[in-house]
Amino acid sequence: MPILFLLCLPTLSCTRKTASTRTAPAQAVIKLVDITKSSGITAERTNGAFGKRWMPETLSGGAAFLDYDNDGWQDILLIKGAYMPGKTPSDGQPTIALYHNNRNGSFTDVTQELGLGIRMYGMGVSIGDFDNDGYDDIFLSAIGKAKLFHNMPDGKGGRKFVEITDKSGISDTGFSTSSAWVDYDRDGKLDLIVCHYVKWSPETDVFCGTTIKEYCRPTVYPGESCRLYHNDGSGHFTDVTKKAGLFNPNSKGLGVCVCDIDGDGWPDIVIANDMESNCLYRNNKNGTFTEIGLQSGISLSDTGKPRAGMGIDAADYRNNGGFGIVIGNFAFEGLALYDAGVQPPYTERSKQAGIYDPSYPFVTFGVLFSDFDNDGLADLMATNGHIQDMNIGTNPEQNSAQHNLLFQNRNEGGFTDISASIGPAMMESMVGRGLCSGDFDNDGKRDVLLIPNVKAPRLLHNETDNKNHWMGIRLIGLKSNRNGYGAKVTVEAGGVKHSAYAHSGGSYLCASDQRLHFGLGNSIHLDHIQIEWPSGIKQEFGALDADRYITLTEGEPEIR
Amino acid sequence: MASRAPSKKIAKISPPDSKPSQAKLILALLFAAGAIGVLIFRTHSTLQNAKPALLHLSDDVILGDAPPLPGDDLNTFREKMTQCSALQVEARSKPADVQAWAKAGQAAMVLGDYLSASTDFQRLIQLNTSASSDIYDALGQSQAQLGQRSKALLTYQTLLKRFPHSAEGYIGLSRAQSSFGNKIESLKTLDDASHVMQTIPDRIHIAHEFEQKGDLARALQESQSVLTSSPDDPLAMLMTGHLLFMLVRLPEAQQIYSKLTLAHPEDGKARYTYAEILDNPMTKGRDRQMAENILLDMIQQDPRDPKPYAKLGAMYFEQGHFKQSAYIYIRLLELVPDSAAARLQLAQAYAKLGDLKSSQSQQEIAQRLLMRDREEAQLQADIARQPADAVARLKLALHYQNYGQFGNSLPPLQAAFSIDSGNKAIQSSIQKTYADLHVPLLQ
Repeated sequence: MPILFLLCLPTLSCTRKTASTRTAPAQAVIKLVDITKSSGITAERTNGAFGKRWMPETLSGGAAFLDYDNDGWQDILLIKGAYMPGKTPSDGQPTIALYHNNRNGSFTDVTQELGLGIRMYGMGVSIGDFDNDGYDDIFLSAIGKAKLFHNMPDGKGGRKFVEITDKSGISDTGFSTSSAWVDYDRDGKLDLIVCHYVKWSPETDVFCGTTIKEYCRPTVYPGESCRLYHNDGSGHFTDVTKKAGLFNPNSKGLGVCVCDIDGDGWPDIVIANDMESNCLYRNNKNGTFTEIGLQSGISLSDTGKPRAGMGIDAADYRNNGGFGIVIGNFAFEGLALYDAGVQPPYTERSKQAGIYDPSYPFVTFGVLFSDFDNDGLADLMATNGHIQDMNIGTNPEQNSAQHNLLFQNRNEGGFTDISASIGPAMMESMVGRGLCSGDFDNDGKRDVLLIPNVKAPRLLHNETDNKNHWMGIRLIGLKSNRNGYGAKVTVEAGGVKHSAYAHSGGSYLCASDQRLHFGLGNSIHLDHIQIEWPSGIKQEFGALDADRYITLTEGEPEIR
Repeated sequence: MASRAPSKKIAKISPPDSKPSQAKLILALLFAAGAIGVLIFRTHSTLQNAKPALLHLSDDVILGDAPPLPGDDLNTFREKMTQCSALQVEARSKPADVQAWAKAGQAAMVLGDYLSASTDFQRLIQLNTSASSDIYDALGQSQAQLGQRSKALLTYQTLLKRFPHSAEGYIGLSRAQSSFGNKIESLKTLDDASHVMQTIPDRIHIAHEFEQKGDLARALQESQSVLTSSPDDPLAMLMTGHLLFMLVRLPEAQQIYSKLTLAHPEDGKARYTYAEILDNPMTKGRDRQMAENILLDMIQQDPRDPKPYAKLGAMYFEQGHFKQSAYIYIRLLELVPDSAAARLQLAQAYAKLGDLKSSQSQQEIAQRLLMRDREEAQLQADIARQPADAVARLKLALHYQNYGQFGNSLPPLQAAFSIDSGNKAIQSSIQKTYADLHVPLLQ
């Protein structure tokens, strides 16, 4: 493995080389403000519900932060559902919506100009540069045929998206949900994992409930295997699900998370299944995976029962170099939290971490780790909403609209529920589905996009008022895939090491800002950066001033 | 019991690892039958004011070894089948002997030999035109188990003609209608039943069936109606409390269970659910000490009931009392040695106690059991989706046999045969199974 030790070049000032004295970072009350109205994001979602309570209706709600034109500002993509056949209103089907960042806190709808005025029953999205041309492409999961869009020059100095699904060889039909780009064989090209839910169609729809139809549990339908598409190069993909050992017809996948769970440098894949065992596919380093969900302990609850796994995310929330995996579950199942490591089994510790009881009443879809107060500790957010669109019980907490949850990481592996202190941004009820984070105004604080099942999304601006510092890192792979997915970045500041794993996927149906975000607490600079690229190249950088975004390119000493 | 009324103040419990400042009392030594072992519950009581003490399991318990996994049940099941078969032969040798057919039918039902049972009960009805509703119900149940949905439907229709007020008749008919996908009709049958039921047990039975059908609101309506007319009836209280608990109306459920457990401290079901409510994260004034007290007392009253062990083990684990948790799970495994959940949780408790070898050993057993249970759940789901699919039932039967559960394998195997007796694979499997059991396949 080549190891490059590269001191930063004068592109950025390399100032202090000694560690600052680190005092306890400020854990201010996190402040998130709903700025949807002023942002210019006007698109509303429909789920196409028309009274028959078809299963897909209640599950959709994806979105992405992406920088499609590489201008350094996060744009927003909203995935919409569609009206069901024969139920389309006179003003036609909705399209997905792409909003360009105006760099002033507002966005402009550029859907049509960019060629995304397409109609489909969209579910989720994953963002990745599959052809390594430097621009991010889009994969959309769907009811029916999923679609792949190539980000191309529009011939006028701008960009456009061109659908290349058929040409790409990705023939993904059925009920796809969350997806992620992953270079599972480390050949420098991004492959694609797509979760699938159940075998459902209007023709096979089952009447669930008693006299009034309800949305069904997934147990009434057979599962659909997730699919893995290998990137053959030249824009072509091959379905390698069976060959790679991922075929599982019982799978009812809603969430996917890619992380290097055993620290061997090869990406592993975790699938959150709904009322089926969650699966952990350990990378065998030869193009195949071994499913070790049961051995790892993440398959089932601590009473040995499958839970309703939905959203999923992983992060080094304890700053110990390992991964914590969080999974959103159904009401009365609570969030699940596992501390993963080299040796399974992994203990479920949501109760000890203080996130079980507060999440117990809720149906949690999107979940993600993000350091919202830049104190150097990843916080945890969850968006909730029942699958039933009517009050199924008589307990008010079981309404379809539920409030969201924000857990502040209080160190030592524990969290505090601070949702109520956030105010309406968290507490105003919604039928939450998607959840992604990104810094749309580049102020170093991660903002939030909450996607409901229907109606308007909620864009939350992070206005946390503290003096904590931060660093944002964009990776550009050269030998590795262009996005640097699969790279492990470790930064050291004030004597504390923080690590992050560059990845696609996570949460539910969503894609977050790819830039790796490090809260640094009181440290006004970071002392050291180490990158382990999926190609095997290792790079190190010396001290850097904090509070900015930098770009690190694989094998290059220059910091931009 | 378990009241928070001022007159029933509960003594403070010292942390398990601290020495009690007051007199320490060994309240109870529980001597359970053989395999259960001995549980030592320690309570701390403030004697001066004579407050009642709460049971608590101390951390000086001696763990002992977890029991091994039992082997297959072929021999024991063969023995039972041999006895049952003898009764079947006897009944067939005395074709007019009502008692012989009744005895044979009952034995077959207990074993899950529904092929024999359906023959026995049919014969019994032929012989005895005034057969009780129970006989018809047993016949209907056997037919339903065998996937003979039309026959079951007919049986229950006949039952209701003869016994128009039979709760079992309505419930059986409703289930048979359900098995044909006639959900609306099935609910209408229950609705009809609710208008003709007269006794409290029958009305509660119907409420329970509404719950089984997923209509909790209607079940609650029925149950509350009974409770309104008979506010102290334990069945109505139990059912209403249970439904309120299922609907997460915890304060109302808690109120009912508090009253019920006071009036009927012997009611294990009520006490268990009450403990669950007290430990529920959504319960205001969550009281885990009281929940622990109730569960320990339940174990004292009935050491062979696995439910309180499972709940208690989880509670101790959550509270960091890993030794007590391990102890309780070992006791549970003595009752239910093939419980995947108990093995899994014991493995976690061992790991917390630093006994990694034992943890790994239990983890390995748990994984095998979890694999077994997962396969079973998937096969059961296949059958639920396609009740007329004989091959799906055969797969379930073979799954049970692969894991040495011959007793469990018989009903789905017989159902597969009953649905598609011409299927070669099914014929071959049922013949082999009966040969292994050393009994003839009587049809």
